[in-house]
Amino acid sequence: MIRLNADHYFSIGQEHVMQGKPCQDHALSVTDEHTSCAAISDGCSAGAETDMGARVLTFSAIAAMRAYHEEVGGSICATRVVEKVNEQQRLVLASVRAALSLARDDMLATCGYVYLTQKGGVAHLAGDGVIALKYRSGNITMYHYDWGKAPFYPQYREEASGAGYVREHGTQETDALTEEEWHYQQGSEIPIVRTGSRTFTVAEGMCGVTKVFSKEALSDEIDAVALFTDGVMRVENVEWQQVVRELLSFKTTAGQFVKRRLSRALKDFRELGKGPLDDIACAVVHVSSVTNEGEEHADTN
Amino acid sequence: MPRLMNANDDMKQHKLAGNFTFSGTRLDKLGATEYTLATIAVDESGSTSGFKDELRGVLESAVSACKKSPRSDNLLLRVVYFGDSYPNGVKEVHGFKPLAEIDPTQYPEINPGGGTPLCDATYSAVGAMNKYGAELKAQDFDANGIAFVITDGGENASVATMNMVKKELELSVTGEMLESMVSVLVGINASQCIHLLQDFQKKTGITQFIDAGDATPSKLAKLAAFIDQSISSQSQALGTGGPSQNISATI
Repeated sequence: MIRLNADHYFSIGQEHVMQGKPCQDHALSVTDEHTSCAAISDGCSAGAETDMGARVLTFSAIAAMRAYHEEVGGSICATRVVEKVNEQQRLVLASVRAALSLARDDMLATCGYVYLTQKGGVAHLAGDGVIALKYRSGNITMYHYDWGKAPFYPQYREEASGAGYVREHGTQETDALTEEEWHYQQGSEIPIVRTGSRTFTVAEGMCGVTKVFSKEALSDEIDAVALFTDGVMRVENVEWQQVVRELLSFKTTAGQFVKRRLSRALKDFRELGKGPLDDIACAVVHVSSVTNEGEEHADTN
Repeated sequence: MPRLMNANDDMKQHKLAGNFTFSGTRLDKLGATEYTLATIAVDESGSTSGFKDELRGVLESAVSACKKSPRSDNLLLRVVYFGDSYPNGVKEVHGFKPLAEIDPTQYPEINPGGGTPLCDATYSAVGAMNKYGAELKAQDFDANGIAFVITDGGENASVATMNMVKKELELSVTGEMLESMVSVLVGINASQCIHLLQDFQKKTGITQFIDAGDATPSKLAKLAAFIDQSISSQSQALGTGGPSQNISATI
């Protein structure tokens, strides 16, 4: 038996403060007795009112995951979860655009989400950002995703299966998205090391990246599954891996644990420089195993 | 007093200097991002016998009003009675706990008797907020504090010294433990010892002294409203870096 708890936080970056722009990142999370859902989105700076698009995507992702849970209970089929979110977002993007007279460019935003249940879970990211897995040992694996050019935003699925997007990037076989894997090991002499990298073609990248978590991994190993927008890459004077590590250093995990940690960490970063230059959004599902007596076992290193 | 006094796994005992102790909700049970710590210390010395029920009524009214505040989820309240019949002059009615877990109708009767350990009450109030506030800060919570010490007489029975109170109050406003701290000494039915209380305020560094006047129903109702409004105001100031500027100088 595991206990799940989700929380989220988003914060405007220094550049948007100076430019008088709103925070274009958004995050959202919900937890009930059986599941936790969390989502993040990063509105494209070169788009228009993309704070709207970011919110539409997080709300629709959460709604889709909850609908999926109502349909199938706690069972997990990662492909089906992603399909469900894609379907829901396609419908919601179209209807919100029509209802509010929003332009296509208002909807250009990335979307990442986590869906965990007692039986396993899935994390998915469409666009740039970071997926991080924190283990009960305190170690952290971080996956950084970077599209060299504009990411394939969910809005592009509306447009003839993204044909225009493919043309702009060359062909479906053109290398477009890179994944860098980094590992933080507690107590190691060189605590943060790069442990791998791979490249995705345009066609592969358009499907987004998915991580699947087994029931056993959630009950025995994983302390938290976290998603970050690429604002973590741009905190002045702090390496992004260190930013992620700090943001996952939860002291306690009740209630608004992500808001507490990020609020304090961002304040600390501002003492080292200008702090986050870009907007940051973060959503985390914390996992703790529970004994029959209801006692929790989770590390919060 | 089942809702206030029962042993509770969610509460943890803490020690201060001397043999002073206090309790507070375990930090891993707290879910919000920020809290205002509020302490109400009520005089239980012999001279309060003429208005003990009304004094308890002030406590019940003030806490009931606080529960309706939009900031109630961000308040942790501690209530103590003080009198020289207690070890260290202080009886903790309940430690720092969320208002949702407090039933104000269950506050125990005030049993007047003995002298007025004003230093003990103030030291316990401020010392506990400093220590608990520092622990909250270390665990990523933001916190500020407000303390009310309600008395009808001057210091005459404490274990703690005025210097101990002064040092705790100095510590409370450095910003290292609490973002800000307001301490209020309230004199009720205290016309005979106003000068003593004003002197106590000056020597210890208490933020404010309020003469609430005679223990009449209307004055006591105003005192309850003052406590509620001051707590709300200090809570709204959390995050600004300083104490509330809106706490009334009179009742």
